[in-house]
Amino acid sequence: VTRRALGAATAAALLCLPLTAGAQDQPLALRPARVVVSPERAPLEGATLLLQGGKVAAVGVDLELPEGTRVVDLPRVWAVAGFVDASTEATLTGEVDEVTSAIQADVSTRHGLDFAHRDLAAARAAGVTTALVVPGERNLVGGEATLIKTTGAIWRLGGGAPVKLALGSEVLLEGRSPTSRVGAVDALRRCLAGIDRQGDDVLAQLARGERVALWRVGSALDARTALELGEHHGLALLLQLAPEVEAHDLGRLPLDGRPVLVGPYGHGTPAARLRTPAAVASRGGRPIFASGAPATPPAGLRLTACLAVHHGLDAALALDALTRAPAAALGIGERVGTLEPGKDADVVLLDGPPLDLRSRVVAVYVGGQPAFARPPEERP
Amino acid sequence: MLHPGHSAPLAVLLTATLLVPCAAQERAEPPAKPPSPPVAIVDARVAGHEGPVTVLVAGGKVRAIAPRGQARAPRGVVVIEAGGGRLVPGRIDAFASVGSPHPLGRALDGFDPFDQRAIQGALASGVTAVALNPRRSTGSCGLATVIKLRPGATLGELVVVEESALCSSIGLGAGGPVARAEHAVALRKSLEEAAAYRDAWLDYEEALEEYVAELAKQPEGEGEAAKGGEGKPKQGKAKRGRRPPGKEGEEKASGEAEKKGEDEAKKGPKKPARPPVDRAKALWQRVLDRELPLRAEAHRVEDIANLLKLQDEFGFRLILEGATSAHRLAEALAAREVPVILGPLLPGVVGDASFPPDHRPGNAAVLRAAGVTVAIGSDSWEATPTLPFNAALAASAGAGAGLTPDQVDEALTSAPARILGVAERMGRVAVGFDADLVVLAPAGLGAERPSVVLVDGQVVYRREP
Repeated sequence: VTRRALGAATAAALLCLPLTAGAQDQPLALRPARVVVSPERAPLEGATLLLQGGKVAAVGVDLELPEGTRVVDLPRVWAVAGFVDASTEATLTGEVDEVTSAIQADVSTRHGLDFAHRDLAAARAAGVTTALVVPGERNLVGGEATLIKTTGAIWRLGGGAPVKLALGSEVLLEGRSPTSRVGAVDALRRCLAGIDRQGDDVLAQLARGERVALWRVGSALDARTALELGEHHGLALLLQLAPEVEAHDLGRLPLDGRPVLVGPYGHGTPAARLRTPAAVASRGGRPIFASGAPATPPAGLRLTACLAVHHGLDAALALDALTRAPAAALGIGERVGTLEPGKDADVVLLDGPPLDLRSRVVAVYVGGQPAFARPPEERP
Repeated sequence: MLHPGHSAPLAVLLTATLLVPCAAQERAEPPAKPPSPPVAIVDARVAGHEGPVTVLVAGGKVRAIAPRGQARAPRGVVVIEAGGGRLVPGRIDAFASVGSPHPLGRALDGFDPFDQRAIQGALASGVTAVALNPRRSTGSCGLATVIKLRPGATLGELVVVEESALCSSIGLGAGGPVARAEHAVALRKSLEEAAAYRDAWLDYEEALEEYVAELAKQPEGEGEAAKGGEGKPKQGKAKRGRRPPGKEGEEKASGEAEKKGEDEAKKGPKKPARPPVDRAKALWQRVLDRELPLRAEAHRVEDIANLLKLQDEFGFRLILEGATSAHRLAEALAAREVPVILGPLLPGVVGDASFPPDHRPGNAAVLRAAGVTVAIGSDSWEATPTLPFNAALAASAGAGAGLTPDQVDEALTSAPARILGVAERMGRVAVGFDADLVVLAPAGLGAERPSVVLVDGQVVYRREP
């Protein structure tokens, strides 16, 4: 069986799946050739992945299937957990940043989201099932990010959605304060020191560590500042390194156990930058990949992972950076990031191993429901 | 040649193949190249061979491929353990721009052979050869060169094909149909001028031959003429000779000669005037003569169609580059046997608004299905290290249908070798071919990274553990 014919058969099988809500309770058993339950575990061969009620009900070899289970055999297909894109501007319409002042705590990307945007379908086709839609990097405090499932549902988080902060050359705009790095750091200091921690607003929740502070930095120096300020003010810091940061810049940056967003990387990215994810890991950090969509297509997420592996990152860590690490960093590790029983049935099916770029996403499930199937007419 | 399945005592055979052709090879090669020690790559998987094989390399060539267990590496050979990993031909970046465009330029002159960081970056991605191209503007942009990447070698030692093609582009940056048409007109003008230039020189050479022949025919007459008429007649001849050469002109001239008869005979044969030398036109003439292919970058259907029209008319060899919308003309390209070098399909390029709206990453597969030879290039030397990833996206990217994994490999190896005219020595792991080889080690979950890279049998890259 050729790979292509196989893909077509898979797609055909998946297109036949019922799309109506009534079928939601019918258990579905996927039988791919390999299932990657979680990144550090060896892929299971010949296992069955049982999806029921929007969750992974069970996974393993020789499972007992409930009555009425629909079984789909997927020879040579790999199943992995849905990818989590921890930094995207996809689906946002118009200008992303409100640049009238550099502190915009009350702005939310929720109000710029367009679920009819074609970016969303593109993200699903690339295997992205959960995404954090973030403000840009032109404000010191850019506002509230929005966590979504790529089927078009906003994820309500207990502590509130993450807040985007930024430090780097992008925040220095003409005709507005700050106009220098020292000015930017001073403004951030004042902002953080002036928060009424007992308050009920976004900044108060940020200061109490209830909301994740997704802090994008333009350089290793900016990273050091963010780490110092974050620690001093007790922020739940999620550091994001700009793609321009090179491996040797990191020096002795203390990253122990910290999640660190890196990427996106692509065409012509110099090797010194591509070694940054490996450098983050070697300093004890947990790399997470940002897609940077829509400036780069969502498929760039897997490309970024492959480039990172090529430049020294462990393959299991790279898959972790696409799935479990971002879920954990965003506080949704209980719900998504692996295919362990009890997790959301967010599944990506590929016609080959996930870190082989030649493999294609053939189908995607979100909450047990088909969210993408490669249509047969797109084949030659 | 040794094939899998042979059960002869291969260690002996291998030693024999090692020694004999090696000696021959060393005699044939220039003395500047230091002889590299023979290498045996053991426990490798090679396309077309079942099971793991041992590949023996000596004198810069692959000397033998034999099933594991049937071959033992002779003593004194450097052994590389592939550990069951794939052994693939060195990848060839068929489209790597470097240096600025100039009608008489050479991309080779914009390449720094001592930029070890860049060369190591490319080798680390398994790229062992590069077709250097001048960056593009309209008209002639200069000559492309095929080189191998060997650290520490001089430019001259790297060159595989010094003058590989004349480069041009059509429709790049054209804002609308008028500008697009102007590009086509400019290209046609270059070709027409080259045709006129070629004719002028052919006529001149013909006339010169006649002149020499006539001189030889009448040694006495010439002597008399030379003695009889110095100064004035010579000047007169020179003036007449300045007339543009052409067949009608010649006929007229011969008619006149018949009429004037004796007068001409007295003056002796007329020396034809040499047309002015124009190096730019001479380059285009080599394209017309099919000596050099024309590598033309074009993306939109209109531009590609314009190129094909010009090719039909002038009959030059065409290599299409970039070719974003080429899938729409796949049949026409296949019928004319025009090979295509696709540009990058990577993020950041695909989303570019200047690309035609009908761009689809699946066009590699459509072209291939129509019978077009398809290679994939990185577009610029800076981006060469991302070539394999770029090519892999041709299999997976976007919503389009893609190539199979084997076809992706082919688009980086044997296809560019064919297009660049080096298929008899590069682009395959086969006996007698250049030992430009990449050992790929599995990194898990489908990721492969080059662990050892050889160029001309020399280990040029080893991944640090």
